[in-house]
Amino acid sequence: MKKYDAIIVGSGAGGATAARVLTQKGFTVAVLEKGEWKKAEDFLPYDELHFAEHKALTPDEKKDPLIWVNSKNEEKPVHQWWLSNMVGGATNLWEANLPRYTEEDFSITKFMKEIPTGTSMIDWPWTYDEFQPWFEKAEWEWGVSGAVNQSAAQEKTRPGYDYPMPPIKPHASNQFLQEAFRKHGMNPYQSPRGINSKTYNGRPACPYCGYCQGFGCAVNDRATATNTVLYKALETGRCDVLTGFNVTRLLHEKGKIKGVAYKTEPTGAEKEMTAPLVIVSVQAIHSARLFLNSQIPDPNKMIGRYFTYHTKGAIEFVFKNMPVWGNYRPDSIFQPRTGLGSLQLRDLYMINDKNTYLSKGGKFSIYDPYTISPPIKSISRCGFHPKKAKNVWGKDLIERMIELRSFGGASFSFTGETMSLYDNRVEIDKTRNDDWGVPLPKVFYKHHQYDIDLSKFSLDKVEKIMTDTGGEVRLKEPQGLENPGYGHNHGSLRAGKNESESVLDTECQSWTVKGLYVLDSAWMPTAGASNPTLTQIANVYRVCEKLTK
Amino acid sequence: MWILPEQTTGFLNEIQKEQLTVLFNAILPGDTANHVPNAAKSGAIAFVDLLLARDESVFGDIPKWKALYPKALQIMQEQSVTQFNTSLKELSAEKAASLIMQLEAGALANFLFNGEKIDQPSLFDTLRRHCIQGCFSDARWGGNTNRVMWKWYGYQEETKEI
Repeated sequence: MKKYDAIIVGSGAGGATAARVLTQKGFTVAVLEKGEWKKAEDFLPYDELHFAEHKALTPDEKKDPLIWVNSKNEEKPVHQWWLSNMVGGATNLWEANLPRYTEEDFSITKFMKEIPTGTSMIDWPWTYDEFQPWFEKAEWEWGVSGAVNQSAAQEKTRPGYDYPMPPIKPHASNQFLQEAFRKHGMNPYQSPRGINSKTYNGRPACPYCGYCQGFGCAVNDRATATNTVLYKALETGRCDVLTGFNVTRLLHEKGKIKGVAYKTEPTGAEKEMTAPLVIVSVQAIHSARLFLNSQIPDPNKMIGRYFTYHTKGAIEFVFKNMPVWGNYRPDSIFQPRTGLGSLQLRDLYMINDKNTYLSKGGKFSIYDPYTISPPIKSISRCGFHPKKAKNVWGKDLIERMIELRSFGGASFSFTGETMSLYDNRVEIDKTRNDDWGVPLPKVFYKHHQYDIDLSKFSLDKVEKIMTDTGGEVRLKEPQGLENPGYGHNHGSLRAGKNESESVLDTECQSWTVKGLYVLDSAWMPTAGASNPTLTQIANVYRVCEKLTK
Repeated sequence: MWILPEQTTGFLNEIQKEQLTVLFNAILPGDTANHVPNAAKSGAIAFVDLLLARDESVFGDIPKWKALYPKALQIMQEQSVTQFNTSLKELSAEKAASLIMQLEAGALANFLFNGEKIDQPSLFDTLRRHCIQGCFSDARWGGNTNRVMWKWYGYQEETKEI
């Protein structure tokens, strides 16, 4: 078998970026991917039923679930809708919302008034300033559209810096929403997106088809690991992407990585591939699962611990004083009516309110509930508050459908800080395997009261402002105690300065197995309060630029 | 590009289609004043009829639904007769809505098919989801007849009164 300088497990955001940097530095790399190649045309036709409702692009929930253990200690198989086993991984299905984590995330103890007892809210061993050059590199290589200095609440950037592309078209609701929040001293702004607002790196501008989160981009305007960094790695001739390679174990001996064991058929024999450097990037749950299945030495019982899902929350409004947003005219300056929305509200990232103990907060992504997704989901998910929270049917459903097509609306999705808890963890299920014979991951998760209070506080703030503007609540889902699973997952293999308190060192290398690195979001010491992938990518540049053969 | 296999024959018999029409029209009843087509006029029955005739290569849950629907419709028929002394296919909209409300709440007594318990909230979820899918999916799946619901809803084109 061909010898490589490095084996990269997983071809998503972390793995593909690692391949890009290492091949630039002269490494030969093998990227091992469980799934297959997909091209943009494989995401056609635009068929919501096939791709989303029938889950054509995500793991089979019967063959490959995770096991969720809820607060009552009940075990339930969960469909991992946030995973995608194909080259490029979950970046094929993401919405490409690419904010940076900021100082409030990196240095949390400076910003949280009180650290709740029993939590482990710690500063990251790096600063935002140290990460700034790597954020810029990530934004330019991945192709982020956006604009700096739209809002005081926005991520701080270097003077003179701007994104490689201007923001995508505004949604027709932007002005209404921005004026409403400005009256309360808040400034929603157009979010940085891995979506082309113009032709960039040979990929076209977004047509706002509405087939975004959960769908592959058939136009190829949305950045993926494949169409940004992986193809550049392949162009060097030093990168092989080996599809259908499912890594089952990490091979190590006497504190050094030897390589990986893998299968190419679910019922086939395990084979081995060796290399002096192995980079794991298969999302935080599965990277921890791989560590546990490989018996990586864990003297301090830290593997899988301090696992975090972001605190969530959703609130949605109808404005009967406003007509439905936008139109389908080709000359419109706004997104066509199929567009999802484009604003971020980050003014609650830090909470300065004497009426609450809360301090570190989070941010909202704002969508149009009419077009937040194609119609099956936009109708299925709707609420009809206060009569019915969800699963609306009958006359209520008809009334809500009429509202959606007739009036303006706004849907706020919250991403908030999350308390890190030792007991929130990934373990290995001792009785159940996936269809490749690999023990399934088992996730124990309960949200801390801070998370629950934060979500409710933030939703209430938005509710006050929006109802003052004429909005009527139609859906309100604050974070509860339980969390069966979410795409923003991190922290299961914490990085840190101190071996006794972390799994990885500050370069994201295993303390106990040299040459073994983790470059998904598992290294994050705390959850932060933004979509994590840009920070994950920036960290790949930071780590890999220093690696030598 | 993913190609949907052609499917011309259905799965349900005529009585089952009539029963499903009553249930789906309770879930998505339409509105004459606002020109909203109901589930049956939107093609949701034809959608389920064709979906159930497909095989698991189209979607892995289809065999499960194929087994579920005949049982579920028979139990709902029995519930209709027991509660209202009326065949399900002839049930009024109001009484059909009452049955659906009880189904959602898991409140229908003796909800058994030959002794096999059918989970009522799960069945409600399946019926509701298939009803909405049948009204709003791409017409290639057999529902959303002539894109009638997309035209009304204003999906991909300006809204039209139907």
